[in-house]
Amino acid sequence: MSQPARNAYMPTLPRTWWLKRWVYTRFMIREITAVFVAAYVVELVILISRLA
Amino acid sequence: MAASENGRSEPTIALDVFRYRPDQEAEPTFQRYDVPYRRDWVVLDALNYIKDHIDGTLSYRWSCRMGVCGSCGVIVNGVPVLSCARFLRDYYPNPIRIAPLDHFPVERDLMIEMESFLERLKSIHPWIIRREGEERSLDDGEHRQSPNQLARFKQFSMCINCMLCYSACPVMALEPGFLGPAAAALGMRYILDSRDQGKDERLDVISSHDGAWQCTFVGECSTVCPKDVDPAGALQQAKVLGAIEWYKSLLWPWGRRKKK
Repeated sequence: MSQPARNAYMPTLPRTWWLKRWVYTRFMIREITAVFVAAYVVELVILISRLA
Repeated sequence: MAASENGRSEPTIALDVFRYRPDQEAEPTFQRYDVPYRRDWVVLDALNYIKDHIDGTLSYRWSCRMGVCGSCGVIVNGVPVLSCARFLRDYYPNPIRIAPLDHFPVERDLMIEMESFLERLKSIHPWIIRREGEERSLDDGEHRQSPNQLARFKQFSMCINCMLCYSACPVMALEPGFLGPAAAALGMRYILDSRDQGKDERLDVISSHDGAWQCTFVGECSTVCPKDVDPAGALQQAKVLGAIEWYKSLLWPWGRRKKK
């Protein structure tokens, strides 16, 4: 990719970018549900292994 | 309210416009302008009023002023829009905050640097590709397409390269090498074109690390698209196509056509 001109202004992305608009916040909530799904899968695997 | 020539006060609306003058300042600022409010004015009309009557140094892009050229993309109150397609009456009487498109270097005021976007478009090889020896001669006449064949790719051909989708996509900020919605839609436009034989070539770009797979299906690109191109749909179609081609390459690797 080409490099921007030396005096071009490149805004930095703040850590709270996902709070700027509701659609981004909704997207992040959607993504974070994967953490809970993964935790439940791990719990299921542990329970199944105990049954064995 | 501002006084008009006949003494009657006319309504005004405040515009907070992003100003960046690299020859004068290192950091950008917002400058407030009060412009006359007219019911039939769009944001572009207000910017033109500022340029013509208040501050001639304001820099911004525009051309057709009717939503077909894609030149006037800006962020209005946090949302990427075409300035010629947003009426002041949708915001009045609240002030309007106008900034350049996100995720691109700012050259000056509301003007962004477009080179990275153009490079992404070029990487998709946006032209009809024919295999060697299969080019039609002039005597054979033109390529014929049925209405159904045209309908397969027509939606993706409506892109006006306004870059609103790139501005709306959060992945563009997090992954600067991402191919992006418009380039993926352009790639799918040619892949789905019955005249084209360059699917393998384009899928090498689309299925790469920075290709369609960086997309996390936020969907904002399709929401802000002024031409209903649905670039999010194009990206998901590209993922499906890429996955199918990958499985095919596993199952019968000898069947892949040789590249030109």
